[in-house]
Amino acid sequence: MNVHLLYEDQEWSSAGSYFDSGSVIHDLGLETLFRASSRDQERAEGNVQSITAADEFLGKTLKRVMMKPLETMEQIRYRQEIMEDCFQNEQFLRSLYEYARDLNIRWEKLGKKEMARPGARDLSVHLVSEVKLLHLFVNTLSKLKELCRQYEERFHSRGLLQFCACLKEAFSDQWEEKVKKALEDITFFCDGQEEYSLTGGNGRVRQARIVMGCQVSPGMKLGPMSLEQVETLDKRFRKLKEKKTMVEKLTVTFAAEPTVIIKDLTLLEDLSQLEGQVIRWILEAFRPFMGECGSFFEELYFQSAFYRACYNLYVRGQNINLEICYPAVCKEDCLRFENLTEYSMAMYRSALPVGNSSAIDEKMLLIVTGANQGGKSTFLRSLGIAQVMFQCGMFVSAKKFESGIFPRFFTHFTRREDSAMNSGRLDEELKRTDQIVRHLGPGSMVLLNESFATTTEEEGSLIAYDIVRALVEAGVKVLTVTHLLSFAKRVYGEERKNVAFLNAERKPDGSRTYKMVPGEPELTSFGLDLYEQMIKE
Amino acid sequence: MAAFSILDLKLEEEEGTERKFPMPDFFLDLNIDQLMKLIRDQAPGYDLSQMFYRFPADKETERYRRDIYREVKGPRVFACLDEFCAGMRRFKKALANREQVESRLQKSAWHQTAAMEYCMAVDGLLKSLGDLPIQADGLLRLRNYLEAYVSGERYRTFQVAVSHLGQQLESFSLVLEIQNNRITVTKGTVEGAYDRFLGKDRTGRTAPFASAYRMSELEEELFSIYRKKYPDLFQEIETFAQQYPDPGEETILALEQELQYYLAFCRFQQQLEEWDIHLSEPEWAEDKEMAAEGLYDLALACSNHRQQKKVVSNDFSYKEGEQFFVVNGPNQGGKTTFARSLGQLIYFCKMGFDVPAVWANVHYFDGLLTHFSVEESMETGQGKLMEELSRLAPMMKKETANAFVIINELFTTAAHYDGCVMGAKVLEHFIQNGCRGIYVTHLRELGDTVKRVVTMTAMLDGTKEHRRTYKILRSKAEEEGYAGDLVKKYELTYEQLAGRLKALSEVSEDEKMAEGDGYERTSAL
Repeated sequence: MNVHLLYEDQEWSSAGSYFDSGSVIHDLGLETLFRASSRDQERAEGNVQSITAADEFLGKTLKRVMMKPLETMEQIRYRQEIMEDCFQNEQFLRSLYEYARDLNIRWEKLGKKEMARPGARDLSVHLVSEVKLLHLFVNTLSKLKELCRQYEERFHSRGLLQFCACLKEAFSDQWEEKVKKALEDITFFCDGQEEYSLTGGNGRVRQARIVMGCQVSPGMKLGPMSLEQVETLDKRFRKLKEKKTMVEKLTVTFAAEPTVIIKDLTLLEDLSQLEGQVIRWILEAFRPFMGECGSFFEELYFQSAFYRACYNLYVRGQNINLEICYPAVCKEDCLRFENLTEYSMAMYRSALPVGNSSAIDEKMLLIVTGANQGGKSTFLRSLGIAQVMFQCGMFVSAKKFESGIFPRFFTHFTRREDSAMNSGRLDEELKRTDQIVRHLGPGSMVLLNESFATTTEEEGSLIAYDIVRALVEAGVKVLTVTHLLSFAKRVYGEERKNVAFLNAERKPDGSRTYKMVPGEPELTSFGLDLYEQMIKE
Repeated sequence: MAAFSILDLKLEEEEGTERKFPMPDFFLDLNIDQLMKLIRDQAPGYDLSQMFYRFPADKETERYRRDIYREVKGPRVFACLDEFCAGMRRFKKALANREQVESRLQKSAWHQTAAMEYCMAVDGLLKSLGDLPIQADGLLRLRNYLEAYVSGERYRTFQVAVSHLGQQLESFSLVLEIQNNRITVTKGTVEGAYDRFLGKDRTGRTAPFASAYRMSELEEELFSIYRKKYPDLFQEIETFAQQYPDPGEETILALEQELQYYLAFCRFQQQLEEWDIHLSEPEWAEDKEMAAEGLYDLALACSNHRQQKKVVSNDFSYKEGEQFFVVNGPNQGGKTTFARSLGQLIYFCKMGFDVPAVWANVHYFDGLLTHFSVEESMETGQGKLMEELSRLAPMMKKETANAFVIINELFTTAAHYDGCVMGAKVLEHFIQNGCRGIYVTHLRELGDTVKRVVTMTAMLDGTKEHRRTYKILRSKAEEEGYAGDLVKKYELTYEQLAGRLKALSEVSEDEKMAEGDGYERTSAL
């Protein structure tokens, strides 16, 4: 049974995540997104309402899926389709996730961890849990099948259609019936109820009837058995007679075949051991199925959680009228966006941020310069977040977004605490750069934010120039925000074709619009504005 | 019937006098005790120590073992010997079970099982040895011995009885019908209708009672009731046990134990292969100079493996007329490791096994003597020099005509001049006695005064950090200045970076993905 809601042809595996995903999360402020996705949101006029406590599994799942990029537009499109279907059939998504979650929680309660320990299967207490687990799997699968039957016709995505078809095929009605019959046969041992008693509530007793063939194995032990008949006889409860009647005695004595009457406690214990072995043997037949169910539901829990988390983010965005779109792929040296906003900040402030639009074609290097507090870093982050969301098949917060796919995605942001001018800091910065370089390859994008500013302007510019030049020449896409004027000016002066320049816009009166406009790099800090203001007066 | 040993060519005449060999002194010095632990892990339940604690009696015995080991390494010979030992373990297990149970019927049944395992192991070994193109003297002797034993009258009648009873037990079956606290036992078989419903075939079927070897009370009860009606088979089992009370032959029992010597080491070697650590079979040419390439410390390699580190290997050769290496160099530079690897080379070679080197030619030595400095001995309260000399004296008094001697840091506490003089005397003593060896010391002048000695040095790399290379060479290292800024240090100048990225972009996409180190690898879910 395959879930395949994240990939068309495989289940989830975390191999191939971004190198140093910790930095990517930290630099782009993605924790805010993960947190926001953990809370169930309701569409509401005006205020956002959280209706449940945080489900941390959602945030954790979103984090893991987001940190592993897809590599082709085909893969991205696969997830986008499913997401569209899910968002249009909200109730389906809710139930799907709820079933998977509920099952996993009950499974934990039944002692998932204990059952996984080696040798645990031999303990009869776990045998009971296993039978109950089988009940749980079968019942949940039945519910899932019903859910799919209900919604199937409304789906358009390959992923969900395939999911429904696969479920129907792998868990056929015939098979369902067979498992249910076997479970019925062994109700003498355990039924599917949470609590049960041997005698039941209504004066009925459950009794086993087992017929088996046996060989002998070494040491005169009863050897391999084969089962002929197993069933549970449901008899009206009747007080066991303490004395055998004459007739019974006679039947034993003159019985055609040797018969053992279980008359003391030791023999009774042995008998229940024998019954346990029979149950174990029967379960053995369903173990491959249970194993499959186990991984199916673990996968389903995880994979549906991704869409569920996205849905929470989506609703929350809707509530502040955030414009979203499903991005499209374009060539590696292009980057086009309209009204692109910084999603994380929007979630954090619950307010609509300023959007940016631009179409940067045939450029491998983008240099963003401009005044402090002008929104440069926010802009770079918005690009980074959109890129990461795009690459994992999510929607992005823009009217339109087109970019290449860069499975090797790196961020190199100056850490605030690093800003002291000190060779130790530079050492650390270069070390991080070195680490990034080690992991570069085809399809790489590097976001540099105020990098190499921990040394003098002159030195920093030289270092930045060398590194950026080498990276771009090697085919790495570089987006950089920089304060290093000599660096930016030098590149501008060379009039290279594949470099784009954006400036944080500053009105003639010095006020900031937080918009990025094309233009020659010009570094005017807040301090200079102030200085000029003062001198002019 | 001549007794026979797979370990020794000449059997000790005075049998019965079981001597216990203590662990040789050099085990600790050369870290062979650590390796011994790993080897022992490959043969749980066997006591290997005694076999590994003593060298083969002479040159011929060394060859005898080496010839055997060469063939044991082959997968088919290994498999057939290993299968024999596994069968013998089942045999012994069944005997042990016999002692654990009380009922006469079950004792006899376990006895029958033991007898059957024994026959299967012996017959199986002879059969598969017969099919193999073996050449080693020891294995041929083994085959001859087995042939004689199996065709003996005593074994033949025993074997017939065993297989007759075995067949009967195999075809025995009964039917249990359980309902309402009552179990009916019938002779016969069932079709397995419920098994068919479950979709199960006959493989992997389990027993109705979990306990391993003892009958449950219910089983006893079932059998005793059943026996009243059908007594024959049960009677036969008990009679067999009386008739053949003692199935195992002493030489065969010893053989199982002795085979572990080869099997355990062979398994150990397979384990090493998995760890990407490779041994090789040494050459044994006395007329060529003794030398090795890619020699390393196996104990270090094993412990490094756990930390995912590689070891550095070294080459050496004793040229014409050279008898001793004197090794100088910085602390922690790999001197002692080199000395140990030489010792391990000699040890494993003498035992007939493969050695930790890419290639080696080893001469024959009568013995292996080591002297490593130890922490000042607390118990004796002796000064370190006293302690060293007291350990050295017996070494020097021994008949050490053709021994390999390893000395590690003698006289560290003596005055420099004294140390040199004493060291030279020790060296001269062993050289005059015709010994070969290695002498690790911090005294640089030591090698200069004595003839037939080669000085070697543990090398540093050229940088000012004095990084150790752990290479031991015949020449001396020179230091070189190092200048460079941070950018250079991280290889991030334009030229360096362009070079690095050029190399990267040439790596094909597939390789890159396969390599994938540094990517987060956590298990799914």
